[in-house]
Amino acid sequence: MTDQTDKPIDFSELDPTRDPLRFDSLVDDVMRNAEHELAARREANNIVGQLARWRIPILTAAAAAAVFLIVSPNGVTTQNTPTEPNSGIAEAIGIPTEFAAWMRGDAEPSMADIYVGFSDQ
Amino acid sequence: MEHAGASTSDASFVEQAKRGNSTAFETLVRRYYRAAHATALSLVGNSMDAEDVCQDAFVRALERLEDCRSPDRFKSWLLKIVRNRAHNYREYQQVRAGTAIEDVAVAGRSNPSQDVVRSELRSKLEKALSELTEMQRQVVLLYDLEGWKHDDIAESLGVSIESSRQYLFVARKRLQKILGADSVTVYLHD
Repeated sequence: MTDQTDKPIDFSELDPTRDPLRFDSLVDDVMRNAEHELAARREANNIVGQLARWRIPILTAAAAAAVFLIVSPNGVTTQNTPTEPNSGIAEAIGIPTEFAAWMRGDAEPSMADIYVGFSDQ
Repeated sequence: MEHAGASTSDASFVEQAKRGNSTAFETLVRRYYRAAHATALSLVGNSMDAEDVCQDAFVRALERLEDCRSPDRFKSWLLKIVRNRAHNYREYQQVRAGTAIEDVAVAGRSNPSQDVVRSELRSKLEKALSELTEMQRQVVLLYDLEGWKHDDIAESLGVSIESSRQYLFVARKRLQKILGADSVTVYLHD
C-alpha cells in the first residue's frame, strides 16, 4: 500500500457529532419519536400496568363465576337426591361445600358457623 | 468514540430501556448515533437521508428490543437494523432532489458564509463517496469517520479482515483521486 492510502480521509464534515447543538437536536428528535414506545414500556412494567393488563380477563372470569353461582343452585338442587351431597358449579370452582350450601339456602350462617367453616378448611 | 468496554454496559442500558427508561435509551442513542449515521450514509449517500434512516432505525430498534438476543452486542444488532432500514429507504423513498442542506441548518448559527463553505465541502464528500461501491463506502466511513478497526468492520459486514483492508485501500485511493490531496488528514484514531 502506498503512503497516501495509509492516511485517513477527512470525513469530519460528515460527522453528525461535529456540531454539538445539531447533534443534540438529532438525539432529541429520536427521543421524541421514541417517547410513545418508552411510555408504553414503562406502563407495562409498573404494578398498575400489570394489573391493567389482567383487568379484563379477571373481570370476565369473575362475571362468569358469578353467573354460574347464581344459576347453578336451581339446576343442581332438582337433580340431587337427599342422600347425595349437594354439589354444583360452586364446588367445582373450589368454593367449600359448606359455604356453597349457605349460598343456596335461605338461612344466614352465624359467625360461629363461618368460623367453623374456615377451621374445617 | 466507543469501542471495547462500552459493550460491558450496553447490556445494562438495553435492559433498562426495555423497561422504558428514557435515560438509558438516550445513552444508547448518543453512543451509537455516529456509527449508525456512518452506516446509513454509506448506503443512502447523503447526510440528510442518513439522519432520517437513523431516526427510523433507533425507534425500530426500541420497538424490537426483545429481539436483541445478546444485549452486550447491541451495536452489531442495531447496525443490522440500520442497514435494513437504509435499504428500504433507498428502495421505497423518492430521492429528495433539491433539498439544500443549508435549509435545515440549526437556528442560531452566526456565520452564513462559513455554513456555505461547509455545505459545499459536505456535498463534495458525498459526491465522491457516491463513486465508490457500497462495501467500499461502508468500510471507509466506519474506519475513517467512526474509527472502527478492521476486525470490527469485518465482523459487522460479514467479510474477512483482509477484504476489509482491501476495500479501505481501494476506497481511499479513489477518494484521494477525486478529492485531491486536501482530503487527507493527519489526525490519529483515538
